[in-house]
Amino acid sequence: MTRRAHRSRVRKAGILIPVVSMGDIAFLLIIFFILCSNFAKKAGKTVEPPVSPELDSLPKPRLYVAVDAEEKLYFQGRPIGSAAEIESELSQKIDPNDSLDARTVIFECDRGVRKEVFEPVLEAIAKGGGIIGAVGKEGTRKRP
Amino acid sequence: MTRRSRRDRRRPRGEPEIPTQSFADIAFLLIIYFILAASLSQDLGFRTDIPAGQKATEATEDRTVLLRQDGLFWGERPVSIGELRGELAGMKLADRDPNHRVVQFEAKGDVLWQSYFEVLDAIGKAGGQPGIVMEGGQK
Repeated sequence: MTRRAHRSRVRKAGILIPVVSMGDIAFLLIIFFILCSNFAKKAGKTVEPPVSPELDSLPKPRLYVAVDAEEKLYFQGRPIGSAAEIESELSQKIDPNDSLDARTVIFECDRGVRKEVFEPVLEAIAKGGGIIGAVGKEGTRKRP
Repeated sequence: MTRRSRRDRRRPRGEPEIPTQSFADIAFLLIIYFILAASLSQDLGFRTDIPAGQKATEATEDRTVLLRQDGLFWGERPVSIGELRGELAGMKLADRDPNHRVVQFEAKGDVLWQSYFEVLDAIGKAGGQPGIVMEGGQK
């Protein structure tokens, strides 16, 4: 058999890569990423964070407290009635022997919220055993 | 020519198939989107451990950072946030024993989170711990 004839036989046999299973694998990975991401905890609120010139990176939120522009409180993305409830939720979830990251409570508050609203929340986080991870935005504040 | 025979000629022969090859491409594009979105959404801010209860009474010095609607005060003296950062840096709080890093911080009147956030950030950056004084008593 000549070399040319051999090559033509290979071409006829054809190599098929099974790509159907690739779709299944990819969709499984998508489901994994969706479940691992945290965006669901933050959805549905209007929070304009305060600005500061130099800020650090905060860890991924395990515990998340927010106060929106309408001064409503949220714990883990769902509305909560009072700072006292936040304290009791946190004291159940935080162990004093946990690592710094595990004890960090991401606190996202709108820049226009009044002290009477956010101060009891800060106190509740501290009393619940949490370390406050206050969320901000890098920039300089425009002063009047 | 009848209607039936014309339709038969247009239709491809063989088994009907759903093209699934492009699914993998779409799925991998979505994965790339999720990976990028997850790494871009990291929160910025600062961490501060506010001492709860009696620890707050062990303040570092008599001086208090006072925040009011009409301005910021370091003790009795009005200061800007930049000046406060300088004053706190001069105290070298980070070099001190962890029990002596507490800086008293009191907010009075109609204060918003923006100003409060800046002061907490300044105390934290200087290596201090804010001992928050609540109106009407120490925390």
